[in-house]
Amino acid sequence: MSIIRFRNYSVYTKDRKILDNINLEIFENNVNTVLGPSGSGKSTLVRSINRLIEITPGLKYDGEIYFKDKSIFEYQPEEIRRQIGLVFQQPNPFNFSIFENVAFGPRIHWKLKENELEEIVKNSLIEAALYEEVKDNLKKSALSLSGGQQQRLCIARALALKPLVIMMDEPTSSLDPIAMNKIEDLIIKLKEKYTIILITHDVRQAARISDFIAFIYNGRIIEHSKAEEILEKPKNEITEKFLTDRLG
Amino acid sequence: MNIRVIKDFSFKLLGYFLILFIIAILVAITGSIIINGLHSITLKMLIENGDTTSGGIFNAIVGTWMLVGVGILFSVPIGIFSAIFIVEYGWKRYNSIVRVFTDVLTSTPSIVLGLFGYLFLVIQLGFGYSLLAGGITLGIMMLPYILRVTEISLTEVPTNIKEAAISLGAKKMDLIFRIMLPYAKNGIITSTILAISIGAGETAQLLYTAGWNNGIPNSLIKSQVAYLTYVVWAGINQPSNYSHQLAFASGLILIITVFSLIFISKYIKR
Repeated sequence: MSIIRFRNYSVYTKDRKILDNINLEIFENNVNTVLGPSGSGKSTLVRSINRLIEITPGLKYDGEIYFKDKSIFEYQPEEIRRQIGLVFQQPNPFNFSIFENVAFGPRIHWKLKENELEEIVKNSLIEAALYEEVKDNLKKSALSLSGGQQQRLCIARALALKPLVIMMDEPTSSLDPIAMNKIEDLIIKLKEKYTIILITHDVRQAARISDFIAFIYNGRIIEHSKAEEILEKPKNEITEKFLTDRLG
Repeated sequence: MNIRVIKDFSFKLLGYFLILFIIAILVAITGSIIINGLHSITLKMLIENGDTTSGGIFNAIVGTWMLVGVGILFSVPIGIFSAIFIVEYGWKRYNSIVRVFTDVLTSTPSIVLGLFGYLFLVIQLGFGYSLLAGGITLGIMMLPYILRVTEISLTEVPTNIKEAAISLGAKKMDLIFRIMLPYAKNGIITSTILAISIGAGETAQLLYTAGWNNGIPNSLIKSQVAYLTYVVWAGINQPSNYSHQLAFASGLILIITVFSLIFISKYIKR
């Protein structure tokens, strides 16, 4: 079942197209990877889904994106962003305590009692596999955490809003291999409950955790299919060249 | 020795000399105030009201803080909200215009601001020589500092932090009050402290708007206010030795206040 569908969606600046006529399905409870070299439009793709594009000066767009069979433009932007979380390339926790970071989203969306809020924060940290490491230090500044912990905190922050989809824009590119492994294991666990959209330029990472891969190049989706198919026998020669170059 | 070495050496010497000169001026000013002040000041002065020829300066100390307080209450909210509008509501493109206004306001001689305060607040609005007239006139002078520093602090909130909040569904108000203002907090506090220290040291505009009171004002309007810089200004013109002592004591209090505020703001900046 697809939960997000792009239909003839394009994004452009005054003089060039960043995304060119995208048609793409995102499948529920799968890891949907968007793979491609830097500058190919991957980030713009996820920023379109949660409507950050609209507040980026100088960008125009046309076409449609459907979320649960309704155009994303018919939702309130805040509601779309609650249901579709985004984890950025660089961990970007707020300069607050660990607790306040996770509580930020629930606080602005819902009126909650303090004990309900604590429950949500705790569960989100457990789901993001961070709770055991920070449970005694929830009042400590989030900036005192390591890079990998900060990234898992950002994941917990998104999970606290009870979203349906979590988008991750190269979530491990600034992390060391051990921290990267933890995030990858987490992604595999999270897909049981959430739909994951993973942006990466790392073919090995895509191979390790993807269910579906869309290969994007120069703003176009070149190929989209099950991960094994695209990795083993790519139909398009651009895809093949990218895969062999990256895998050496 | 060749000519370039001599040139280089003499330039360096000139530099050292000029820096020493600046330090000497600073030491002379603060030194003379501190020494004279310490000789003049008594505990009795600090707890008694006075009239610049007899008594103490308690009324002037309290009056100064009251005036500065009104100035802060006037300028901080206006400064912060204007800065928010400039940064977050697309007024950034009028930034150059706003900058001209704030620059003009900063460089307006304080006696001119005092004249405005006198004509508009004291006479036109009928506040009389009072806390409100003096405080608002101080506030007008503080405003550009608060506005400018708050605007810079808000602009410096990292884009990725703002995007993180927006991606969590933060509305504009959430973004401003829960993210941007907390991030800009240090800048706002520092600029407020700076504004307090500037306000505490003002004289000219208060001559026209605050008047003088041998006690503590009992109302926001139509009740005159004493302030420290007035004691310095008036005391030194009196023929009596005691008036001079009061002036030096006030100068000492002012210098201590301003120095400690500057140190506090430097500490917060770090």
